Amino acid sequence: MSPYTAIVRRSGNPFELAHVLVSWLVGAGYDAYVVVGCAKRDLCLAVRYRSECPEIPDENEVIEEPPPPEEEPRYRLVPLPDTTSKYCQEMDRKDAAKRQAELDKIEDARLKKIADLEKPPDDPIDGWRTHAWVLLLPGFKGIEEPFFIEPSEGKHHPVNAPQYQKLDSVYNHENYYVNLQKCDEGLGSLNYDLADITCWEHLLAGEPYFRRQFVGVDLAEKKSAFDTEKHLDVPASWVEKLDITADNYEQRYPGSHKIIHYKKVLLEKFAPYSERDGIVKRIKIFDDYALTSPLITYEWYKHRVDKMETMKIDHVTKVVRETFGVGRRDNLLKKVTNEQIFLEHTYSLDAPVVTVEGERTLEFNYYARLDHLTKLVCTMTTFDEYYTQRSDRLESRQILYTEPTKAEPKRQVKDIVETYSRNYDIPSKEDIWKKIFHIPDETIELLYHYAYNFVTNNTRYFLKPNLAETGGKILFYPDKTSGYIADPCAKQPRPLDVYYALCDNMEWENKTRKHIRDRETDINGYLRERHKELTEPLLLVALFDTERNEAAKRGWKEQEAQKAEITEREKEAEIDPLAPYLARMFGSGHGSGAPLTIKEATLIRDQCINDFRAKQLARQNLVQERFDTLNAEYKAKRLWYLANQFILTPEKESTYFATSAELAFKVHTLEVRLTRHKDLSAPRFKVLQEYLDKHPLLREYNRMRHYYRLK
Amino acid sequence: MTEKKSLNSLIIHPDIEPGVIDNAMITRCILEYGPTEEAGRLFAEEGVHLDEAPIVRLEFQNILRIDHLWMLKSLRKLTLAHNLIEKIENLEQLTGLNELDLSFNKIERIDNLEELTNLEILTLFHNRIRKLENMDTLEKLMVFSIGDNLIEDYKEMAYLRRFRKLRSVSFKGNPCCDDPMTNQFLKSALTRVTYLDYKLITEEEREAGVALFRGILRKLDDADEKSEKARIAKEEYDARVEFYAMSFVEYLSGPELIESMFEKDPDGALLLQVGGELLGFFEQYKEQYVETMAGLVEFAQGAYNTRQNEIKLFKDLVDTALEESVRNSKVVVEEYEAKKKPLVDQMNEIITKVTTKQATIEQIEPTIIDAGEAFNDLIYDLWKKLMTIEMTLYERCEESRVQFSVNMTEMITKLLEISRNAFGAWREHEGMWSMRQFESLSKLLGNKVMLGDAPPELFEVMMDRDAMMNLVAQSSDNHMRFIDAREDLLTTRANKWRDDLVQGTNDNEVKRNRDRITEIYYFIDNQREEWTDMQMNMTETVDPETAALLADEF
Repeated sequence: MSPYTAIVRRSGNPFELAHVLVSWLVGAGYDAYVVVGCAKRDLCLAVRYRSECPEIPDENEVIEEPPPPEEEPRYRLVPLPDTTSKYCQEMDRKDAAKRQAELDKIEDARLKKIADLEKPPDDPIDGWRTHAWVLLLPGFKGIEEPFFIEPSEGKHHPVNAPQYQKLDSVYNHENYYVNLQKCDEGLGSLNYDLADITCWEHLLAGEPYFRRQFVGVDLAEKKSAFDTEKHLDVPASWVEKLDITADNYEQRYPGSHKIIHYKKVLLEKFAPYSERDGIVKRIKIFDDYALTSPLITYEWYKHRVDKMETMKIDHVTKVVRETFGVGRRDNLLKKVTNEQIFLEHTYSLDAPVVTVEGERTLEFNYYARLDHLTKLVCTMTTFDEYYTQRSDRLESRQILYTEPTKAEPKRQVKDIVETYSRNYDIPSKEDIWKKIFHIPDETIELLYHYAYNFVTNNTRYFLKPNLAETGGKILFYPDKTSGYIADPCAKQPRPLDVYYALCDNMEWENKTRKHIRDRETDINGYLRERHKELTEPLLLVALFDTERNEAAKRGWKEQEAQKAEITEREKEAEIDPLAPYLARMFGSGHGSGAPLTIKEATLIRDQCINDFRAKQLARQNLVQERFDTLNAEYKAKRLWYLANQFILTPEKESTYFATSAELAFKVHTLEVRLTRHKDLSAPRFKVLQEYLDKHPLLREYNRMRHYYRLK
Repeated sequence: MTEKKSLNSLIIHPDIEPGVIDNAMITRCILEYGPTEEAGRLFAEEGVHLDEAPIVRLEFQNILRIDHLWMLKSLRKLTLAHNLIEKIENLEQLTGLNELDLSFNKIERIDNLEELTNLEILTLFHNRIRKLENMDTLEKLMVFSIGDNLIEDYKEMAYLRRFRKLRSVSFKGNPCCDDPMTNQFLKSALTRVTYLDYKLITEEEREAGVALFRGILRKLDDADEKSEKARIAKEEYDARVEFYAMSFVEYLSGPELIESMFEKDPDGALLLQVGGELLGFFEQYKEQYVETMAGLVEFAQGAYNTRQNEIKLFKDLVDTALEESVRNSKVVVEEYEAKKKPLVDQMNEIITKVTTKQATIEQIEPTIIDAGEAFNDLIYDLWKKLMTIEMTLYERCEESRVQFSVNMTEMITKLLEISRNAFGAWREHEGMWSMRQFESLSKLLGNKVMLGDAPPELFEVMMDRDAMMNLVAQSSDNHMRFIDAREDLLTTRANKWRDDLVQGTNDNEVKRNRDRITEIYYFIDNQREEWTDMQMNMTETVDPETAALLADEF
């Protein structure tokens, strides 16, 4: 099967795959060869369920250690006195080491057992399985060491890789080399210098041009030149030119879909747009070798309208994490949900995703949001909002709900805790750190920021006055508030300021509660939308995607149709020389009327032809007339000059030359025009006649004329 | 008070009776414009503290004379509109004033505003002012209203160009406003002002004005530019001096100081007039001086940077240690709060039991005592932990502080050594100069021909050998004294700086330590008090005997 066919079919045996790969590599300028040899069974049969999946994302966060200080610090704190016993420490350490050693031993034994179990079964024809792969030799494109590429997986291996057992021959488009060396000690021990004829037997005598060395060879001499000359070439390829378009590359999997089975992992790959939900890759990690109990699923998406990029489903903890690209309308970045939400509620089974009371974490792109919301954490009884860089310095708002009871199935707000960052423009004793609203107790607690060198902070506690009793007015009772002032030297706050703080915070509490209701509604709405997005996924087609942009395609087609229509119309709107005559006879708009009677037709045709003739004649006469006058003038001038040329002043002479040149030019122009008119008038007349002969309105008349002529 | 009232009732037109600013009036006005309703009640209850009032409005009070406002120390906004004031006076004490409203008065002259440098808004609407003057110090002026006054020449307004922050001017209602040129002039001349008579000045209007008054404007611009340049140059010079002063070598870079030395020494200056080779020597002397001092200045700059770095290192260490200690203490306090909560709950439960008569005080007494003991233990534990943290912090930092002061002293000593060398070199130059001066003068001594065009005093001196020698010696003495004074200044300042720094660091640390300990005690006292209060709540309902028993516990 030729490489071209392999590309079209998108599958092939190792030889075919190696051919395709070598073709591309050679085309790109590498020194690549197809290797024929023997390899292990797993490689030959493309069995991968004994190897680790290379594409599992690494989720360990990279911890950057702070760089060590540049110079030795000149000042150091006096270390605290160490009062522990050295002996005890030593004993502890010994104990720990002993325990660790025991643990390590058990762990080692376990790992060894696993390795034993995972070992592939014996292969009766081990070392005899023919395989083909790719060899890359140094010298081009910055390659320094020879190495192998396994075409079935696209990975490179060093030449001493254990899975390759024997190397029989290598070849490419230039020559075929047979290996003369022994492969018992692995392929790493071979000499890969193909020019060494003690190690490699050449099928065709001579080296390819690029590898030849003309040292000490005199090419001018015929005999040595003849000896050095390469005598035979490998026949040129008859395979059609290989070409992979960008679109073909995207659809590179056979049937747009490929599944690879790794150890405890199932890797699925899809071509973009091939699946309805836009998935391009899926990695499923399982707990066992038979792939029955899934652990984690990773999914990657492309071109989704909802901008979802990846999804991670942890099947053990039942947590789903979705990440999104920037540019969503709600600026969501990451969403972590727990699937175990409200299984005890009956309605939740069919619609568990649309209520705010589940365990969820939503992360947002705060700088694109007006409220600078960064993160939302919802659980059964809490609802936490986190903000970044808000102008009012709000950092987080944590809401604690009561547990829903039978009497009160809907949860109620219990506590609201708002945290603010420090505002360095005002003293810390006036800068509120936390506002705590205890809703059922009707109390407000304010905690202020810590001042420099203080370990306690100011607090203020209010019992809210009952507004119903006072008719909506906020009254101040000194016994319903208390506070702690951290600074022993500070004065007690003024009652007026305390009163203002109370008023502000009562108002703020109302605002906050309204805000919470709004937020819950928002999030519920969002969850509904998200549910819709998940169940009815839509894919986004790029504006410039010529393959899939249906709207654009329709647009182009429409445009073309319009263009065609316009040309059509232009064709139709050719000038009808009969139109003025028809208009004179029947009024305007007789373009497509019934054919004329013979009498009318004769009349019109005669008029038309006569007028045409008259016009041509008139034009000819006009040009002729002008020509005559100018010519006469020119001649007169010339005569005048000839007569007077010896008595003229230089200025007059030059004026004469200027005017006569101009006249001559005009005369010449008129002459050309006249000739052209004479030449053209006959064909034009003919064309008119032909047109009239075929004119639909004059059909009857033409028929009659023809008939009479024939007769 | 009653007397006053009776007097007032005798007056025929009480509403045009002139008012006098006194305590009563100010208090009344403050209350009148203060908050209303519940807040007003609290405000009145608290009483008016004149030194805390930020805003005072004394309007329609028929005030004749501004006075007695000095006690309003924290005043930011003062309104004296609609009175009968004729002269601006007695406002010198109100330096914090941002806004001053004197509209609708009878003021004839702008005066006595020099001290109000923080003034941003000044309103003099409807007065009798004819001239803009005496406002040069109001550099922060932003809004200025001079409408409805008696200004007759609009060119007077060019005075306002000096206010760099001025953005709004209102001018309508002056006699010269009938002249259509007035507006044009104002718009073009006041280039920094955005609003004229509360209307935005557009670019086109400005351009039109510029075309009309090209000549005047150019003159004004030139004058402005000159004063601006002088100002910038002075600022730069001051900044440089300040910068060098931080490393104690101000005025030492360049020949500036030596020139001023000769200026202060009339004898030397006189002898210098002899000219000839003396001038050459003088130049040489100056060069040597500049070279020597350049070395010193360079070293001092380097030393300054090293010192700053040292201070930063030390500060970083102390700050980090403090931060850590505060963090630890906060954790301790938090733990305490968490442990206290169940105790408080328990106590509250007991109190409800007692108040609802579910149990008698005798029955639950042991529980109360137990709770009290637990609480005492808790408090003691808290005290111990907090004090430990604080004491360790203090002690751990002490050594570094000593080390720091040693290092600082070392650095200053090094600097002083270098400066001693430099000043020694200067003295040597001075001696050499003195010698050369004497030699070259000796050559000319008594030479009437060479001294033909010298000034009479110089001539006289040069005729007498003793007088000349005296003069030279005197000049040299003068110079030596000058040099000594400068060196002294440097040494004293450097030493004082070091002492201040070391002392300040120590003092700060001690003060910080005391503050923290006071705070800890205060907090613990507070907690105890709270606990006792809670028990007192309960004992209110029981007999005093038990109360006494319980109180004994603490």
